[in-house]
Amino acid sequence: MPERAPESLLERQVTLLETLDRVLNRGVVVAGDVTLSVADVDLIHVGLRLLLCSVETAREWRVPGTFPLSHP
Amino acid sequence: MRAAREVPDVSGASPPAHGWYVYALVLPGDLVPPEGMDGKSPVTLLVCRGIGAAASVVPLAEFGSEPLRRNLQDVGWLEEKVRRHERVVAALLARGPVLPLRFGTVFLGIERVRAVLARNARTLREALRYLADKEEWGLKGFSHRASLRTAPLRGDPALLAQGAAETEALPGHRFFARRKAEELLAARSLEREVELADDAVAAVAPRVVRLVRNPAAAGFASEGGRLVLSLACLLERREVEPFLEEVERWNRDHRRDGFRLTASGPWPPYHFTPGLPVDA
Repeated sequence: MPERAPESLLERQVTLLETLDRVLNRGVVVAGDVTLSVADVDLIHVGLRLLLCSVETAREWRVPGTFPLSHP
Repeated sequence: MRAAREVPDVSGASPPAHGWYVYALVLPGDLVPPEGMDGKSPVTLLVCRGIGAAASVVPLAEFGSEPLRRNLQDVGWLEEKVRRHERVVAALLARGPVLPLRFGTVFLGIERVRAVLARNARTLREALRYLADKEEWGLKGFSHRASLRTAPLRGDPALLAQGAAETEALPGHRFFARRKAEELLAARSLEREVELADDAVAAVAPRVVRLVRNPAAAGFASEGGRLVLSLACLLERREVEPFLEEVERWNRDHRRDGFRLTASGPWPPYHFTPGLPVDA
């Protein structure tokens, strides 16, 4: 759905932020039975911050045909 | 030669070399298997009591507790895997309702996946049914300080008064008068941003079933713009078009206000998944 494509660098960065916030911080959490414990989630944030600092990443964050905000 | 390299050992023999990465929970049925986390193992549905766990085999050398901890701090690794995770969930969303799992959910065996499905079957089935006719959309509000100052604050009485005071001030006092005007302008800009954000929320609220307002990644800014509003909205599918029209209307009505809304979606319903009880 490229009609919702982000226009500026800021919006592209925010799109990346939105994606990462959802994938890394949201969704169903299963406790126990899994290899990653809830305490480890903080470690994800370390990586998340580094990832967000990378403007190149924001420029290249394009996955055609998946999320609507990705570039056509 | 390691001939057996491509055949994952998922038999449960100890110590296990592979685990199951679960992307999302869905309704059982046909699945065109997307490519999994490792770029080769296909995603399959592990079904139990009317719930399908979309999962693929991953090596524990990469996704076990300790390696995963290390990998999460490796930006290149994280970026690639987040993309893969995202792509699988997007493919599942195109097929029907999904309950996305948080990134990095790896089970040590199929029986453990089934146990979680069995324990929570009712909650999960209800959640999938609830989400079947709904979509998650994101709504962001961007403030452009410079235009916000030149347009909507131009007629502000307090600022006009302060401007007049500055002009009339004795030369020695002018510097302080100007600084006071600057401070007032900054404060009014902030207030105005909050007013506009609240106004935007009120405008779209009637179209929305549930709404999550995120602290708007405070201070996130570039190119003179700043993110000041961040919403996740759950919409009935038939309300999506009216919602988008409302956003466009709001932008038209506020085009000189230095504040702009951007809608994105549909997203997998990451903000509207049920909480599962912690295992006993």
